[in-house]
Amino acid sequence: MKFDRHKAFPYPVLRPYNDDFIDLEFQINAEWEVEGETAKVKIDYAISSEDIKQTIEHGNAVYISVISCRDTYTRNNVESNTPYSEAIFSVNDLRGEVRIDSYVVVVNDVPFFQSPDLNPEFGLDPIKYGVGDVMAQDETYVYYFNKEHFKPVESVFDLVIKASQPKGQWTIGFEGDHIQIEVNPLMKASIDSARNSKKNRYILLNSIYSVAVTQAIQLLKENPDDFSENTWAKVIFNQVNTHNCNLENDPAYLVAQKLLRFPLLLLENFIFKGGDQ
Amino acid sequence: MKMRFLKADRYRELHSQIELNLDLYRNGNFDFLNIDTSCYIDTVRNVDEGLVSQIYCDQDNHREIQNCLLLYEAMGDLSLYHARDERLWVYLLHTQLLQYSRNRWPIPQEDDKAIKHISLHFFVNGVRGFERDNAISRLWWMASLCNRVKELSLEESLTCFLEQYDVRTSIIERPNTSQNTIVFSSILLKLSESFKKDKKFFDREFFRSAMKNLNLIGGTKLLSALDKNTINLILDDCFSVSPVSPS
Repeated sequence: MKFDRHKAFPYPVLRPYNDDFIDLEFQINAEWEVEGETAKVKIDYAISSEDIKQTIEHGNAVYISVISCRDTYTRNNVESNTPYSEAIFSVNDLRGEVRIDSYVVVVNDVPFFQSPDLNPEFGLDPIKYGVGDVMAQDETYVYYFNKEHFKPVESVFDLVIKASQPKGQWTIGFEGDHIQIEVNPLMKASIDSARNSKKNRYILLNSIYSVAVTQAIQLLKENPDDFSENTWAKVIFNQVNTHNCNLENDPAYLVAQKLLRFPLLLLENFIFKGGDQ
Repeated sequence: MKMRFLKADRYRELHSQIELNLDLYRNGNFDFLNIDTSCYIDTVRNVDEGLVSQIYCDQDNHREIQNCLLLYEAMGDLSLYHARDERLWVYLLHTQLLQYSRNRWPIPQEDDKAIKHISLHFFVNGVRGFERDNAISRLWWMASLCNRVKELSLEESLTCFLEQYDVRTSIIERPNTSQNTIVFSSILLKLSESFKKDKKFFDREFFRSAMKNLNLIGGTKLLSALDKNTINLILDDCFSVSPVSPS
């Protein structure tokens, strides 16, 4: 049962954009934690209808979240009579769009539901809810799940040849799923060869990649919706959350440093101090 | 043999060069993908080469059920995550299963049609490319879905699921039906009963009508919150109503 603000139920349902219940709300907050091979989702429910809360407390309704992944045909329900539930998945069972649809659902017939918060158009007679009927529904919470999104930011860059590029210059293409760093053919060969050494990789991280990540973050700060479907943007958004950065307020160069785990330290530890021997 | 994934850039290259490779698709092979180690990523998982080599079909007999069973078993404990990676299927298709794919989805003579056909069946495109169009991944995904039905053997489930294209499509394209294991299993059990009798439920109009009835109920009751017995009672009602004849 998808959330549809235009849908008409044959009974009152507390849901957004609808006045079956006057001035009341049902909202969830879901947070994903990914660690190793498991993904845990924690769901908090907030409902301001005392009468629906009581129905839950009396054991006649429960909070239910249906967590579904269209790509893998995975679907799990979490059910709770308290305003919190959690579920654990294998990261191998989720890919692409993962939706959380949350409800308060009747589990025992409720033949005489009454509430002063009901819209008067329902009249004075008690409402009858049957098993499976929905008393409250929140909008769908969508999460885009891809193991790649938990990879380091550096993983979304491709070094590619641009034949017309002057040798010392490089440019960046943001159109694809990966960010393309475009270099002259000779420079590409030179960098490919240099990347075999750890020291050289740290230098590249502090030069080309730092600049490219900063530029990517700046683009996302300015136009977050323009790139919302690109994998590189999803990876960066995920890393921004993981590192508790504030994309709106923090300067791009500072966010980039956090996302690259302060690459200047690599220069200090492995090059200035003569490490990596 | 090791399970291999085509490298992403090779995938893009191959997909962009269908026209250039038309002769290879029609009469040749892509053996270089097996030989050139820069084309693929080796994984630690294995694919049972013996089972894969038994996958075949001809124009008169697609052997869908047997091929689903063979591929599903050959891929071992492939995760859903990896099964949703086009690079895996496109590599397998262009190497071990190229001839099967050609036989199952014969390439049109006309070049323009051939290019579209190859893009559709030899690569993975769009939302339903994995389970509907790609010559190889569809076999695995149909078996994977049917394997969720614990009350029937995989072969029995596949037999019912693959019997009628419209029935299969009606199920797959309704996430509330295909994702919900209880609903999906209950429908396949109904189909299995019907398969053994008069196959009435496989009638296109009848099945569509039953699914429409289920949609109506699913519009006001949260099917995910209901137990198996309740779902079965609902389905009994849905399948007992005859379709309305068009006037």
